[in-house]
Amino acid sequence: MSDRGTALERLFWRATVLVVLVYAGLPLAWIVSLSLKPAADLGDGHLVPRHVTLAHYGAVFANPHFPAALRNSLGIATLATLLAVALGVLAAYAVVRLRFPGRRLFLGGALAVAMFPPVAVIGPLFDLWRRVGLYDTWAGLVLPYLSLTLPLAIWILAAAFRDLPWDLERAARVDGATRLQALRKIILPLAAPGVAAAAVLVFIFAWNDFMFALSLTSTDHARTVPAVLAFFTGASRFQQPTSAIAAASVVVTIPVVVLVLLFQRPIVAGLTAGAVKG
Amino acid sequence: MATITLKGIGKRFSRGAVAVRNVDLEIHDGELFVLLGPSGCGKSTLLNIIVGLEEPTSGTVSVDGRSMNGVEPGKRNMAMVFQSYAIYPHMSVRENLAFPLRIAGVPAEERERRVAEAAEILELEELLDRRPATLSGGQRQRVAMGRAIVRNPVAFLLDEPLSNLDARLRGQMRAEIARLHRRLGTTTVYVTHDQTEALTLADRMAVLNRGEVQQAGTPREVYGRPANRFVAGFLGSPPMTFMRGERDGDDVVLPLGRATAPGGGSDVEVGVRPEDVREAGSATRASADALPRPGVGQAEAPSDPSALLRFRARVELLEWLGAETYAHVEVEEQDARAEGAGWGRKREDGRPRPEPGPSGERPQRLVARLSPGSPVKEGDVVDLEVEARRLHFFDPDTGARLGDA
Repeated sequence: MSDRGTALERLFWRATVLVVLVYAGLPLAWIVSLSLKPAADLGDGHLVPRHVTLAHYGAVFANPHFPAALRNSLGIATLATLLAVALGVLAAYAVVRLRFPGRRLFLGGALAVAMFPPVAVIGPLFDLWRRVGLYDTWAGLVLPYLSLTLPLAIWILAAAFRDLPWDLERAARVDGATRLQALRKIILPLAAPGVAAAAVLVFIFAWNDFMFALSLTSTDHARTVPAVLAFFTGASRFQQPTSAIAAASVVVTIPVVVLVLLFQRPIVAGLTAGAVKG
Repeated sequence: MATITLKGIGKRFSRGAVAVRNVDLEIHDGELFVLLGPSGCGKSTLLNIIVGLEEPTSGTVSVDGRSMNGVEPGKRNMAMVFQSYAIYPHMSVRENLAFPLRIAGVPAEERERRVAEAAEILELEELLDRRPATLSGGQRQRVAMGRAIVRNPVAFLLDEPLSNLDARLRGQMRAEIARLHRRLGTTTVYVTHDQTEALTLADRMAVLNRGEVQQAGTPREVYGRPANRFVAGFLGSPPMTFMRGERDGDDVVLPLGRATAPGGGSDVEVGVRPEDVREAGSATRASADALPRPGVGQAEAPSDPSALLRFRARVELLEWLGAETYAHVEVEEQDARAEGAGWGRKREDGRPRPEPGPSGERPQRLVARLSPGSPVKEGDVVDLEVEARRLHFFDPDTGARLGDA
């Protein structure tokens, strides 16, 4: 009886996992497939390409705008991430460890900012940026990314800090450390999984953003990959740039995948450590 | 090495709760001073104020005469051992021990030498490269101690250091802390709620309740002459039994008999420790083990027989512990056995007997420590006696100790 129950359970879980995998993986697989097919095979409906070509990847990098866009994307996303994590760490520390009036209001306000629909600010921001000279600059994108992701970073980091025993920090301060030293040497290493999670999320947001990138940039100066993709053209005016876009998508997905793989271990380690603690 | 002086220390939290009230204490250079009290009495807050993790709302902390108010905890050169040990989990034992030195900028060579020294004292040599997660409770405790001694602080502050250990290990570590203190001679403030730790370790101690110091002194003074009812009831295990004594001239009348009581003309509250109760007639043997406690300041035992309270009680429960037996007894009505002697309750003026109060309706219960070899069984009625000079008298309203006896 119980054997049958466990067999059924196993079947159920396997089926569920399979459905999720297909749901998440199939579009990705399809894009990879498209990027490898010669133009003539695009509409053949096969998932596994019958002929494989790397020509589209060559074309992507031959596009004069793409390397610049890649540089912009990397630079802007990295800057936004570093700033958001640095500010988020300080803010989260203050929220968790210090008593100051309006603590709750601050957290609530941060949440409200995170819920704010970004579309609503794009128009005004466009005008403003043109006037103050931030239009088509890295700073012009880093600022909105930072503003929109900081609340999330603060919440994630505050949750991570809250789980740490306060005694550790007090011990460090008795041992001679200043608050900042205690933060750097004791709290941050221990909250590393939370910091990594916050950083990855900020980075992915900045990396994937299309709307701000499209509206607030105009040249290779600051245009990021998602925006550049939109301006890809086919080999002739009668051809859709499907394969090129697919190839470029694969290229820009790689950093994200690498990032997640890199930080997967600390994130998972952090989660399980929290689960069995105490 | 330092003398720590607390003057008028008060701590009120922002929500209005008062944690510590007007504490004056002087902790002498090199002594092990214990802060003892029930949970929530403010003893840990007081420790945090001494080390600087919390600022007092009033009063001053000074070390060797220098005021420490406003000085960062790290600049006070005190070392603290936390109840949770607070060992840095991402560092090896070696790195944990070296952390205070690294922060202080001690050069690597010197650092290694001092870590090795501390490790030797606490027998941590073999654990130096281990991670805290792989250590047992006792080992973690020793790492925390090691991190405290490594930088030669002016004082050690220990916050319930043994309460996370099992009973056997606790006894072992208690002895180890005593040895360590003797060896290093560093001023130590030790916070605990465990009276055994306090009585065994302390050179001097202070009993706290509700943020106020109830009494400070050597363990013998505090145990032998508790300053008030709280201290009397808090120290001692099983605890002191309290009963009401009704005033009759210079005497008070207790459920146990009649005794001369200090204080004005009012009723008193009387406390009796289990070890001061003995089986009647066992005086020769009992007096041998009831030598006057040193430091209690009691005169030679008065040979006056009227200074002995004899009473009859029914044994309800016996707790045999091997080395001793505790008998929970119910004191019998004395009128029922008025066989003369000086201890019977007298009502010569014919007044109606004063109402004994709500607690007096019930029979008086008492704990007596008997010899483990005593033949007494549960249900027996036994004759017990207490020397009057062993009674502790307290003011029933203020709880303050009365008289000198």
